[in-house]
This record gives sequence, C-alpha cells and structure tokens, in this order.
Amino acid sequence: MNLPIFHTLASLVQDQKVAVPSDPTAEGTYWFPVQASTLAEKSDWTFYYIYWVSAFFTALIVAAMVFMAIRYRYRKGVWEGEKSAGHSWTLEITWSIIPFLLTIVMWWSGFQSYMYSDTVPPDAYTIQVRAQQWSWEFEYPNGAKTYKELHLPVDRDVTFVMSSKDVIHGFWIPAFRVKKDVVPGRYTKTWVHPTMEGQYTLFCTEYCGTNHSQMMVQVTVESQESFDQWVTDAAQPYGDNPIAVEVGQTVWSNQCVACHSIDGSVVIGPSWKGSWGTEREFEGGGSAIMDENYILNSMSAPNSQVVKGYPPVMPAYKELKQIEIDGIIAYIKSLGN
Amino acid sequence: MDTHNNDHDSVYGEGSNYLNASKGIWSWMFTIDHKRIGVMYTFGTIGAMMLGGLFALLVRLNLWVPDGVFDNDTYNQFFTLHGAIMVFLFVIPGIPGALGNFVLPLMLGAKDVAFPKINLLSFWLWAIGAVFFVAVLVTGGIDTGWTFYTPYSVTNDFSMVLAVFGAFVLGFSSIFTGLNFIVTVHRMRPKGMGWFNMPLFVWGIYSTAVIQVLATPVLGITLLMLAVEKMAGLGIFDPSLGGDAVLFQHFFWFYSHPAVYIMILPAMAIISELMATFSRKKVFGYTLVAYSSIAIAAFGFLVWGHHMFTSGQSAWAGLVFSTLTFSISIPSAIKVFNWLSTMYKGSVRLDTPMWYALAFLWMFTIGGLTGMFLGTMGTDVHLHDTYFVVSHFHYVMVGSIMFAFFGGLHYWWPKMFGKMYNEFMGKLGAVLIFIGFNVTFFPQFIMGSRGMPRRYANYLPEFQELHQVSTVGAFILGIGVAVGVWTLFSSIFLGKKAPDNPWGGASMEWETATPPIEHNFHETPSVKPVYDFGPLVFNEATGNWDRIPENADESGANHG
Repeated sequence: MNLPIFHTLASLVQDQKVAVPSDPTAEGTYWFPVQASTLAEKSDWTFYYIYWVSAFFTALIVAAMVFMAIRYRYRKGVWEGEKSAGHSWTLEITWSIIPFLLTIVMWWSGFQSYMYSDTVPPDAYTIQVRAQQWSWEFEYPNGAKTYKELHLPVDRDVTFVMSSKDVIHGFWIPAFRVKKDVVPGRYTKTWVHPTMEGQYTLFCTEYCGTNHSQMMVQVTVESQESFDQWVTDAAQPYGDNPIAVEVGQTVWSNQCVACHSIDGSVVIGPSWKGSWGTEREFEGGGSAIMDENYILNSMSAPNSQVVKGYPPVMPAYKELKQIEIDGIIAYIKSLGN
Repeated sequence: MDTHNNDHDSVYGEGSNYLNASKGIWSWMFTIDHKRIGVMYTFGTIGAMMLGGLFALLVRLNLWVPDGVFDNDTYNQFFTLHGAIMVFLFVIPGIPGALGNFVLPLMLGAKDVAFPKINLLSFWLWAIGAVFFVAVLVTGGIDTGWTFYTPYSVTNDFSMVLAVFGAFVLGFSSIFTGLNFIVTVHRMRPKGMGWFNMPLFVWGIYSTAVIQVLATPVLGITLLMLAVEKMAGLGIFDPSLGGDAVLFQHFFWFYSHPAVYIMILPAMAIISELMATFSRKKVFGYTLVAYSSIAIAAFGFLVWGHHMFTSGQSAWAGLVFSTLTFSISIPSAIKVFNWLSTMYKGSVRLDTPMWYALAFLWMFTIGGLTGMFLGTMGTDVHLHDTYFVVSHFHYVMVGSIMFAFFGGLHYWWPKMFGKMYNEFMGKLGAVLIFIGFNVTFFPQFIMGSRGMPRRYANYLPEFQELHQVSTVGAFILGIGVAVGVWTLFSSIFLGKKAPDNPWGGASMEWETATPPIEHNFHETPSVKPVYDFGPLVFNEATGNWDRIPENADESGANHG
C-alpha cells in the first residue's frame, strides 16, 4: 500500500473517511456502524473506493441509456443504424482496460486489509471462543469464563481462538469489521485492535438453526485498568462462599437457558421445572429416575439417555467444575418435583 | 390447455398450428414437440415462481417487527423453501426450459431439438423434482437454508433427504436439457449458418448448456454423499463422524457458483435479442459479446472459493479466487457497454419487452457492481452473510434474471400463443415490478453494511425502519408480478391476434407462422446475415414487419 497511486486515491476519498469519533455513543455513518478498530479504517477505505467507482459507472450507464433511448427513439422513416459501425476495437479495448485497471486497485487493497486481519500478532491477548447452538462462551487467560458478555481492553491486540461444539457458527462484530466462521472439528483464528471504548454487538452470522438470530452478545471495550478489574472479578463468579443453588442458577442462565426452561415450557430440551425425582422415559426404550447420577450423566454423555420426544442435540459439558455440577443438581432440586 | 384450444380453434385462423395440431391431455403429456414442452415449462416455472414468491412474502411479513410474526422455526422453513424453490424450480430451469426450448430450434430453422424424447424426459424429471419439494412441505419442511450447509443439515429430519433427492433429480433434468442444446447447436444449424452467424441467444443458451453438463454432476454427487451421511451415518462432512464441515462448501459452490452463470447467461442471451430488435441494430461488438459468454462460462468454474473467504480457507487460496472473480467482471462489463452501444444510432422502440431490457441494464449494473464489494477479500469479510449479500444476489437473480425472463416472455409470447397482450398492462406490470423490486432490495444493502446478518428471524430494533420499507416493496413487487402474469395469461383469451413478426425481429423464429406450425417451418428459411434488420419494413395495415424479398445480389455483409 505504499505506492503513490494509493495515496492519491486515498486523498480522493478522504471526505468519505470517517474521523474516529471521540464520543463512545457516536452513531455510525449512512453505510457503516462506527469504526471501532484499526481494521475498520482499512477495510472501509476499500469499500468507499469501490463505492465511488460503482456510483460513477452506474450514473454513466443510466445517463447513456436514457440519452440514447430519447435521442435515437423510433421515428418513421429515420434509421441511421445501417450507417453506424458494428463494432470498434478502440472502444471495446478501452472499456475492457479501464475497468481492469480500476478493479486491480480494489483487488489489491482488499487483499491487503484481508491479510492484515488474517495475520495474528504474536504477543496478542488471547481469548478462547467456543460457540454452540445457541450461545457463546469466552474464556480469558486467567480462567474467567463469560457467556453473555465479551469484554476487551482498548488499544490492545486481542486474538480470538475459536471452536464450535456442534455446527458452523459465525463470529461478527460489525463495529470492528471482523468476521470469521467458527467451525466444528478445527480452530479458526482472528484478531482485532479496538480503538474506541464503547458497547458493540457480536452476532452469529452462519445460520445455525432455530435460535440463530438470538446468538447476540454485548461487547464492551474499556480501558485496560477497568478491564483488568473486570476480568479478575469474572474469574470468581461465585464469590468466596458459594451457595450451591445460586451457582446452579448462574450456570443455567449462562449455559442452559437456550434449551431448558424453568417454567415448564418446552424450548428445545425438557423443562427443568418439577422434573426432580420423576421417571424419565428414553428414546429407544429404558427409563431412569431423575436423580444426581442421571443429571451427571446428562451433562457428560447427554445423548446416551435422550428423553422420549426430544431431539438428540445436546452437546457434552465435560468441562463443568464440580461446584457447578453440584450447583445444577441443587438448582434442579429447588425447582420442585 | 387442450380443451380451450378446441373451443377457440377458429381464432387461430385457417391453418393448423402446434397448439391445435393434436388434442387431448395425453397429446401434451407425451408430446415430443419442443414448443409444447417449452409451453409446459413456461406454466410450470411460473407456477414455481409464484409459490416461491408466496414464501418470500411470508419472509418479509415476518420481518415487519423485530420480534417476528412467526416463531423462529417457521420463519427458518419459509426462507429455506423460498430459496430452494426459487433456485431449483424457477431460476435454473426457467429460461432454458421455457424460452430455450421454444425458441432455440426455431432460431436455427430446425424442426426440433436433437433428442426430442430426452427433452420430454427433462421436463418430467423437473416435474418429479417439484413433487419432491411439495412433499417436503407436506412432511414438515426443512430449515437448512437452500445451501444445505453441513453439519447443520445432517441434524435435520427425514424431510431433508426428500429435498436433497428432489434437487438431485432436478440436476438430471438440467443435465439432459444442456446435453440436448449442445448437440442441437452443433448438429442442427442450417447450412450456411456459421458459429458467428448465430443469434446471441443461441450463444448464450449454448454456453449455459456447457456449464449444465459439466457442473451439475458435481451437485448430484455432493447431494448423494449428503444423503448417505444422513442415512448411513458415514462420516464425510460431519466432524462428529470424522468428516470435514468445510468440504461440503467446496463441493456445493463448485456447482452452485457455475450455477449462477447457468442462471445469468440465458438472461444475458435474451437481453442481447431484445436490445438488437428494439434498437433495430446488430448487437454492437457481436463477436466480443459471443466470446464473453464463453469466457464467463469458463471462468465461472474457477471462482467458487469467493463464497468462503471467512470459512477459514487459506488466505492464498482466497487471493487466487479473488483474482479469478475479478477476471470474470471484465466480460460482464463488456456486455453491458456493448448492449448500451447497440442503441447508438439505432431506432429505439420502447415496447414492453424493451422496458424490461432497459430495467435489466439498471439491475444488472447494480447487481454486478455490488458483486465487486464481495469479490474483494477485505470488504467481503464485513459484508459476508449479511443483507448486503442478500440484496446483491437478488439484484442478479431477480433484478436481472427475472426481468430478462419477463422481457423474453413478453417478446416471444405472441409467437407462442398467437395473441398480443395489452401493451398498457404489460408496461404497468414492468413499472410496478421495477419500483417494488428496488424498494425491496436497495434498503437491504444499507442494513447489511450497517450490521444486519442474514437468515435472522428476529433483529435489533434499529433495523426496523429499513425492514419495513423492504417489506412494503416486496408487496408492490408481488402485485407487479401478478399484473404481469395476468396480462400475459389473459391475452390467450382476450388478446388480439398477433402478426407473424410484431417486433421486427430478424431471426428465423419470426419467419414462420404465428403460432408456428407443428413442424416449425413449411420450408426451411434461407440463412441471412445475423441481425440484419435492413430488409424488414413495418406494415401499418397489418402491424407486421414484412420482409422485403432478397435481391439477387445480396450484399453478403456480416459474415464474421
């Protein structure tokens, strides 16, 4: 991107470049949400370049079309067609070469910003991202795990190492212009350098079933100082003297709520309300009483005992801590039988 | 069909034609007449378009409010069926099946396609495929998206296998049609018609046929693997069975990107005819337009990876795909400039088909140029899987292809049914569709870039205004399509008798009777230079463009 031509072109589209607003609540532009990462500045440049080239050619084509439809409209006895040339190499080569040259700029600057987003800086702060139908899990280097929010320090490189427990999901934060599919069976990576404190939204962009449109998470970019405080607190989600039922409720609201209700309604899996101590009949025969061991098994090998009438879609939750398993059991117990 | 022909025999004048040559339902079901097969495809694909359109309206209705009108599963089935029906039952088979079948042999002065019975088989495979899709509806629907991406699609129930099998059967219909047209163009051109003396419609249909034959088998194989994985639990695409999830995307787009050109090339082929006839001039740069069809068909095979820039494929693979994608934009640009230049010093008549053709130029320009945002790797990252993409491909699939299909229908309808439709109603339909379409889809570019992901049953309230504009547009579009279809169909009963050559077309289909006789021509017409409008003179009394008999010393221009 150091060729002089790019600088010239950059100055041409300078008007369109949005100065990074200092106000965190700033609105986006007509075409974009706020530019909240270094990548956004780069990729928007390419966007506006293509945009103006496109606008120019659209105007040219429509103007030529309207002009000729009027100027050469059908009039009785007037027909110049016989005399006009059937083709012209000069013209045809011109309108092949000009688009070609214009597209080379798009292609190259687009490749540059793609490589920028694809080349993960070596000393970046790393967050593990795990997606599943229909929730996100973010694990920070200090062991903190969050589900309904993602916090990032401002002005620091952050890498996301992503994996999926079930189907393909998509990781997209429009304010950062960053997107990467989250694929089962492999890790994918991307990174950002947030430039502006504020609240943004993370969307799932690869269609993943029923509640695809509810896989949204709030992203908070804050100063390094308040981020450090937050991530330390987040590593101790249950405090010093955890109460089992409360731990269970927290785990449920983070990880189970997408499929299991506590009010008797059916979302994807069976509701937990009044399930404790009842007999569960399984798909393909057999049954068991809903007790501690059944719940434990349902988390470690959920599809070995699928309750009749429900789909075998629950992923295993092997990484739950003992305190969380105990918490869930206590919580289900508290929901009555 | 047959019964009304009985009743209205007299309307078709003294002579027998392909519509009344034989009677009874079986004479249609087992016809090997390319014209009748074309007519059946016309009715069938328009029916599929209406069904797909109904789902489109339900999709738009759901998006009127951020929380959705229907529940998520229902919405997900609506957009899946909308996409699958439109793509597999309408857009892919539409123009080649309906207009290609009817027009291609006539343009070549031939009696039929090379393999009339295989042609009938193609139609019935299409019908069987359609039955499978209806069966999917009845058995509970699918919610995989028309793309069937794994591993999500593997978790769908048995309906998914039905849909996959339907698409598989439709693939064979497409392959047979392509095969038929390739052989027809190679073997059945009249003596004296060289490759560069063929109408560009023939070039376009030929290029399409090549892709149909080469690319569609890959879809068939992919869908079979998917069905095997689903039914036998064999790990091909599902990582939990040891497969590779992204592999499916490679296979799928290896077909489905060329399929985009299966869809657009016939549309371009129609536009070439319309621009020439209604400008009364040979298509400017004919040779380059013909070659660009072939170039598009060839490059179309090498760009599938541009659907996968965010899938985790290597950046260098992405670079190659981006490069090849840009190389395909050049022949497309050439075509647009050549169509425009065709009007230069022409004699431009703005009859209904030309309205559709000029609207096509606007649509295809926007559809094509917005494609560059997506072929560029850096900008695609942000725009991928958003409404920007949805809008882009609708500008191509609906804006361009459906407009060309409608333009072509309005152009050849008098030849097909011997009746002129109401010109005012025809234009009204065109205007409504144009306005409705742009109001529907232009806001989608904006919301996509602002952060609205596709395939969302509910959305953030900040997008509501744009979604509502889009929904209003969709209903205008729906009304426009209804007006257009009504105008055409009602003309069969209400229309004035059409002359043999109402538009002044110079290709051979305008030299036979309207509607054509069963064997197309009483005697094979002589081959003339392509797009030579000089000998055609408008006859005010009959509304026909009469051909002045050739002089002994024919100029012989335009051989190449």
